[in-house]
Amino acid sequence: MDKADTPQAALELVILKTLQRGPNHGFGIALHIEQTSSEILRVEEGSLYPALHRLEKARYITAEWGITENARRARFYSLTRPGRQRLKKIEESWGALTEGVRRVCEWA
Amino acid sequence: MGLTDWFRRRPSDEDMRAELEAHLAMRAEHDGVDDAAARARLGGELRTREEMRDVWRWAWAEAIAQDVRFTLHAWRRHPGFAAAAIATLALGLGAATGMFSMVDRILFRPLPYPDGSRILSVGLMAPLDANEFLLSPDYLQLWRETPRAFAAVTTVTAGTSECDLTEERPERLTCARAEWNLLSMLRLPVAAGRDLRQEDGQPGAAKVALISYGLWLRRYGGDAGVQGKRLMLDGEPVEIAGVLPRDFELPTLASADLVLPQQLAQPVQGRPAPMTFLRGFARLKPGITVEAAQASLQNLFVEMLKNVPPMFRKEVMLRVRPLRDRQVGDARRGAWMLLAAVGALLLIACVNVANLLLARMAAREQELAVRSSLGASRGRLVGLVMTESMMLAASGAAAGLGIAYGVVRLFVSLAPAGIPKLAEAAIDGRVMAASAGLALVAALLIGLWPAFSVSRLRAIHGRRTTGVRPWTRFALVATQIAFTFALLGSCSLLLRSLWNLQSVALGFETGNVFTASITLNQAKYRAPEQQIAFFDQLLERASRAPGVQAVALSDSLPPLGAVRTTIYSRIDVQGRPSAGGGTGGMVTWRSVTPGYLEALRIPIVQGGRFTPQDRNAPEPAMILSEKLARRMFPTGDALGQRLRPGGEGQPWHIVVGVSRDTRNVGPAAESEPEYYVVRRPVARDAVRRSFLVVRASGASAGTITAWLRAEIANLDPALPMTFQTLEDRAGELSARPRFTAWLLAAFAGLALALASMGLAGVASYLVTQRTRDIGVRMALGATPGDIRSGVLGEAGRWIAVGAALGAGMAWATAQYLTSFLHGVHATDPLTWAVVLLILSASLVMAVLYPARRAARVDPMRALRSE
Repeated sequence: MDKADTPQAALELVILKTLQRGPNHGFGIALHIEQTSSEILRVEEGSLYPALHRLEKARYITAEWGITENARRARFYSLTRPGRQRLKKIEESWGALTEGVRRVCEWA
Repeated sequence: MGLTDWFRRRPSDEDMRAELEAHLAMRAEHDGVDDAAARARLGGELRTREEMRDVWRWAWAEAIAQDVRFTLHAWRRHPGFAAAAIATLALGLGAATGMFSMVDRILFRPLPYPDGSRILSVGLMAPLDANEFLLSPDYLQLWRETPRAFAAVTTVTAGTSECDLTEERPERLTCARAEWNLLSMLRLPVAAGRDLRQEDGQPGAAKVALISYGLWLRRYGGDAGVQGKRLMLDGEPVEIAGVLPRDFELPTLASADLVLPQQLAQPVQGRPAPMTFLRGFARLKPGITVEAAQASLQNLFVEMLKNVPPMFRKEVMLRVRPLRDRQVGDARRGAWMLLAAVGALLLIACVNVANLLLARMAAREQELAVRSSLGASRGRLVGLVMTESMMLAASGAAAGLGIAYGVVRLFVSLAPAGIPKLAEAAIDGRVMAASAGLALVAALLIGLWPAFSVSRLRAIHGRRTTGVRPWTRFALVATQIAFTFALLGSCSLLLRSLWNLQSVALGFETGNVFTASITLNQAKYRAPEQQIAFFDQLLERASRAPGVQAVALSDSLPPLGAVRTTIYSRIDVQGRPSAGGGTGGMVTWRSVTPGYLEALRIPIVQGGRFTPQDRNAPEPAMILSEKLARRMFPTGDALGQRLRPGGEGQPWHIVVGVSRDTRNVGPAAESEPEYYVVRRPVARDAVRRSFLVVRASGASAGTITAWLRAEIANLDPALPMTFQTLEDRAGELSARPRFTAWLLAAFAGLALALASMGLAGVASYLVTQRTRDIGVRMALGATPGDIRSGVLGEAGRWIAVGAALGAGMAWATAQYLTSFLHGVHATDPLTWAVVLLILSASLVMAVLYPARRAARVDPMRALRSE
């Protein structure tokens, strides 16, 4: 979970980024990712939940049971302070990576 | 708390299931599809849940491993701290583990018999013996009606005897006699051969014996077919029936190479049978208590009293008690005392380490606050502190095992004889488990305060402060001082008591007196004439020893050890009616040759000593001790009286003198009245075992011993003998109190050192903390002397609080100590005043250095530093 440039890190990045807007449950996170990426990113739901729990275990996010707008019980995740720092770090390295790839492509 | 932090944060399986259920429901609702479609999208709910569980599987182990790594890293950066903490704990845990291993067999370890806690010692208590006994007719009756309370009853003949293997490679052995069912009552199997059978104990049966495991290995090489082999015991053939189990111990704890079936005489045609003195043991039936067993024996007890001479009846009681109580006797209280002392030492060590941890935490305040602000939960920090305590305690325990081993070896070699089972003390699995348990307790003790402080850690407006409040550390130091006070006090009382014991009047002079204990071979010296001839020649030769002043033979020696006793009321005085009523207690007596009182320099207060002519006088001469003479003849007319010890059928003796009392029953108790009877060359005075006593000046113990050894070897080269100076013999009087007192002194010394270190550490820390404060005060005109006395004054207040707490604890300890003390009261003001002085002086010394450091603070630099 330390490497910021793996496919898992990409999922981690979008989860943390989504939660930056406020606490959300797993389905809400998946929905948000799909909608904001205009359905380009389609979240593998089977790996979303293990990823959430990995982040929870690493204490980047915490979970709490709550009630949705539709009066349904769901597990709400929210960012912790280390989570925010983590997000900042992977955003930077992700930015560096994409910038690097972009430049290579320009020269090719 | 840390542990719950490690375990509780994990979401439950139910959480995971519900979370996925909620997801499926929302997906179905949002997409407007059915449950199956939603499930298909998720792609295997079971597999997903399994993956979620995998995430958490080793979470707790990872957390611990992370804390361990972090702690090791911290230790590498501050090796001094880790070394000091581990060394302190190793000392405390090592001492505690070593002591546990020594008292384990006395206090805790099960007896070496299956279900041994249900084995009782059963018998009568009478003034003539310290342990309960049964007389053979009583036992036979007990056997016949084996009471409802008992599953089995057995006996061992009181005392063991020396017996000689009279075959090639002759050997002196110890023989015990026991009922044939001894092993089956104890539920032990034989190691080889067969157990004894009921027929073996019948009169006229072929002689058989069980041999010890050691003898089996030594003489028969552990031959499995040893059953039926013959050995010659005191000139008679005895067949080996079987081999006693390895590490077998008799319930009486006597050691024996052979166990022979005892043959108890049955009453023949109404005439009473000769009585044998037995030790009775019984196994309780399940569900029956010791009290119930005792009650069930009441009727039998009334019967037993009929066999007891009338004068004894009032003084005889029935006693039924667990075997362990009988075996351990008065060693139990001493064991608890030493265990308590070492527990206090361990506690003091733990407090020191807790203080070290607190001090280091204060230094790491910033780092901890940063970690906290980075989101480490309080539980997480507490977990970190507990991990460190556990690691310290585990390292301390591991290092402590080495110390414990040394402690046990040292103590076993120093310990006096007679402490039950001490020689068996060893570091085994059981002791290691105890050590691990102690380490866990220590970890909790040292982690408690630091964990509590860290749980109150706050990060407030950028100003960080730990919850380590000074008073916590004062409280810890005060506790240490209190325990040290109680320990030092107990130890001083015991040392004073020891001094009293050693300066107790013996009634005889021990210097320049050499003793040899000699026991003649039974087969070789069967006839009384042979025994008399040997000892006469021995006396004759010994009287030519270099520098000799007096020589004598005696059947026993003061101030300790087996003596012959008789009952006061059984001593008839000619011309007086025999005394009725009770026994009047026991009277010690010795059969001695005329030089005895000279050799021991026991003063005569009335009349004269024995003379050589007394040996051949028709009526044996006797000398009474002052105590006995005063009691029998209050008017002081003892000389010339005729006495008959033992009553009807015994010869009359004539009193020729009265001597000063000597100490004859050990250290603490009042000495018994005593008399000496001259030993004459007649069959009824002949004995196989005697002490030779030689008073000689100008020769060293080595010279005299070598000379005597050579002379005795001239008479009989095969005779075993043991030499001892009378000084050493008398020294045994206080051997056990000395052992206990010195052990306690060692613990108290360590405790004082640890408490001083603890106080010095806290004072140093406070001086560092208040450097700025001190600087301000000095800038405002305080002199270095003011600062120094300020620090000392504050330390004085903690010492006072600790001593006040300690006084309460010491008072409770003193109550417990009373029974160990001799000639000094538990609340002896002088002793406690001296202890208080030593304690305060050491503690003030410990604070001197930090106080001087405070006085040397440079105000300018102190003010600039922040």
